[in-house]
Amino acid sequence: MPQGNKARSWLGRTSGGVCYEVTSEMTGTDYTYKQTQSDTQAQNTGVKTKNFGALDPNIKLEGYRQHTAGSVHRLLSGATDVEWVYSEVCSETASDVAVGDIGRCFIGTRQEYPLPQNHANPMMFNVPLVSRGIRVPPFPYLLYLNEATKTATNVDGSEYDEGAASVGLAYGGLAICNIYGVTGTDTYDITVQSATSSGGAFSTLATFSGVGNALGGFYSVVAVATTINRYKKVNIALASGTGLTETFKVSIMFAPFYNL
Amino acid sequence: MAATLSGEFVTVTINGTDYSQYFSEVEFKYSKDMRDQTTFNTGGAPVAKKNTEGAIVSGITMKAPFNKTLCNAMKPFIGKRTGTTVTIKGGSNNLPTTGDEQASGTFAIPEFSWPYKTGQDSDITFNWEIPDGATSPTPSISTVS
Repeated sequence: MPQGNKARSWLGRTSGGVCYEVTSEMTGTDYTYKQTQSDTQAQNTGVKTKNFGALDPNIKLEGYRQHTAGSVHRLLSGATDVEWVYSEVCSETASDVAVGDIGRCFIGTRQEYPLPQNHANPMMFNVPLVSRGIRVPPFPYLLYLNEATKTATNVDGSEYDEGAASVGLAYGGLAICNIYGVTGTDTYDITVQSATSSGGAFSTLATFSGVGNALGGFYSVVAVATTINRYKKVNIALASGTGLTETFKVSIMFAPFYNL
Repeated sequence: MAATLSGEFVTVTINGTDYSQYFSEVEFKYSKDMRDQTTFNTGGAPVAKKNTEGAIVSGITMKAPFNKTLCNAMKPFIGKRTGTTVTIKGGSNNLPTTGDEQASGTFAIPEFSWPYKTGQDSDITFNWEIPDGATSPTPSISTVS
């Protein structure tokens, strides 16, 4: 069941009030994480080596061309020169995705939108996106997913332990926040935080301020030299409104770089 | 004589940890950047191509079924400009032991591809290269000692 079959996906943009869970339309993605490479060879080594350069990932989204508002087809075939935020979480099991599951995030621009059609096959999209200047770390993980009714005004997500190898990283990172299924006007400040120990003092890595009352696929870059500690969590604090009922859905993914 | 070497007795060790259980295929590439030094011959005699071995060109391709534990474990080696030690051993119809083949070097991952599609296997392919920050960049093909 799991291999290739269990995933959830979101597509949004930072402006224009667009973010939808597109899981039901997607059939898959082709993703390549790549740094440009140049041949190098110092004297007296006798070995050709590689210099790693700019991050140059690419992704191809594949799925059904649904014609409803908010569908991938409607979104990607329409507006041009848009910065799209795509998030996908993959599960290894037959269960729904969970905190800690990894996937791929991509911040890019649409390269082309072909409309292939064959009488024997369903209408499919196969859309490549290319990088748009934002470094997205490899193997981002789901840090928070909330679609349940909210009764509190300040919610802490569960802690995620990224493991010993993640201690003291300071090479930058990226947080992605998908706000979808909005039904109300309450706004929230959402922060991604880290701490050196479980239950310790958490400090903010990324902030999404005043979100929750409009659709949006947002991202926040954690600058190089910012210490990203081992334990992560999400905090959602009411910024305006009553906060007594859930008025939006949210998925948050995060990843640090392990090297510059 | 029929081949009797099974391909199953392989170990993949990265930075001192055995990750064999995660990989389904591994290819250690090793070649020389050949230099053509062919010249005319004395007295106009016929000529044969003369190639000499130049610099070592090497890399590793590793393929693995999607596995979260492996992906997380590989993060420190992605883009690591000083590289890490990778050793691949192959046994002769048995666990690798003294005298069996061994390939080793300092490598890092600048690139991986990961398709994830319904109804299909999801295999991640890691490409390892020798980074220019490696202090011991020379790879080796030798025997298990």
